[in-house]
Amino acid sequence: MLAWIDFSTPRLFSAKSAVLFLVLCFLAYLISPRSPLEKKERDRLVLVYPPLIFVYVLFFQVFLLSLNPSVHYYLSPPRAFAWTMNIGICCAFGIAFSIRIIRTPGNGWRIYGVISILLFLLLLLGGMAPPAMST
Amino acid sequence: MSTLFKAYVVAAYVVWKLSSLYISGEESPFAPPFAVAAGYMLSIVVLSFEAAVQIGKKQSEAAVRTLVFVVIGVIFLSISFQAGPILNEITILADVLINGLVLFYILSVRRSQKKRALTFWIWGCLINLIREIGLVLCNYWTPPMGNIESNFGRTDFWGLFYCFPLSSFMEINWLGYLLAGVLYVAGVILIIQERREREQFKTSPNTAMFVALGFLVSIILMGISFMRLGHAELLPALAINPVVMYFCFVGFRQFKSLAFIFLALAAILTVVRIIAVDLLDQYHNRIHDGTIYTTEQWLVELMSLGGILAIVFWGAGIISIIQRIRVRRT
Repeated sequence: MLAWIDFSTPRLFSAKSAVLFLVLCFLAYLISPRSPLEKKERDRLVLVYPPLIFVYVLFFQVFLLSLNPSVHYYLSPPRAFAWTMNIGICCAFGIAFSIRIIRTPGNGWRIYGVISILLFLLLLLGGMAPPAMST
Repeated sequence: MSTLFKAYVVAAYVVWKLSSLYISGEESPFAPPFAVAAGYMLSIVVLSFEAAVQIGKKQSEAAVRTLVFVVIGVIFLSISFQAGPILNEITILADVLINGLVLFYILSVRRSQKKRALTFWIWGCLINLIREIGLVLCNYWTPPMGNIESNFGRTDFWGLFYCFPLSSFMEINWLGYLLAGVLYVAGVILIIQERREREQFKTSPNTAMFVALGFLVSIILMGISFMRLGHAELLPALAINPVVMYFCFVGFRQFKSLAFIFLALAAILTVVRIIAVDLLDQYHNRIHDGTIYTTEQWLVELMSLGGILAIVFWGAGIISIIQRIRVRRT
């Protein structure tokens, strides 16, 4: 197997950070008052956002799942900053969406929102250290 | 008589490929017998003539049906000689062209009708177009211009263009693929519900949530499928396509529309292709000695062909549904 040692200049952002930010902003727009969706529909849609972001972070940031069979990722020191930034972007939006859920009427949804916030905080504070680097 | 030629166009290539599985690897795998190729040429000429006559008589629907067989015949004839690379190119082209065509149709209908299903399909087509064109941009620049060492780390515009970061976008490409699939299915379900309930139909407030839930389930299935079975596409496809088949069955039983048959055929072809790819991969990498046999090559070609046909059937199904919506409105 070929291994490519990464000697690139460390960067704070990557192309993925920009795409993630844009996609999450679009998701936020969909549940904002400017969205073409009705209020009830927006309230229901936001319920799915936290698990969606959590699963994404788990698969592609924590497990570093590579869907290209010929490429296996490893987290090199120069890329650790961008990785941290990507986790930060996902968790920030995850927490914001969870706060939006807390504002939904009903105790069940409030508990669900609080649990989501705790999960993202755990991910943000506990998961900030990059996973073990290996080829 | 023309039915005979149409049946020949559809069946002869497949029968020839399947019967050739037992030819030893010494023989050339790509050259079809003269009789098969001559039959195709004859069929294409006859069917083209018939299509021209139908156009002359202003029977546009019949002419389009006949031209579809002519196109299938031309594809079979041209790929018989060097199928693999050409099929890959055709798959990308077919995906871009059909998504573009469907998008154009939907946008023209959506001016007069603000249906949620049309919105879902517009997003599905857009995502697929971005995926396909993005993937071409990522792979297009081969050395000396492409992803070679001297281009890494370049910060100017052309450096970025030549080194499009494929690995960063691979997961986004796959997520887009899943989301587009879920949006198409949601559109089909909404159209069937709407036609069933007619005037009483009102979009449920749960629709967007169900689409997001479907996407979430697909991502989880994709992760499990990739980590456990080695194929990211297998489990999501096995979950999404049976749903399409079920709703197409329900739709066809109620409305007797050809569109649902097209969509169901696309779903069946996709399921068969994905299971076949998985089985072939298991066989090739785990059971036999790793040599590529002509039989395997042909199977891969058949699968690519199935993929192209699925795209064509899907496009035909969606366009037929849209045409019906347009006709009912006028």
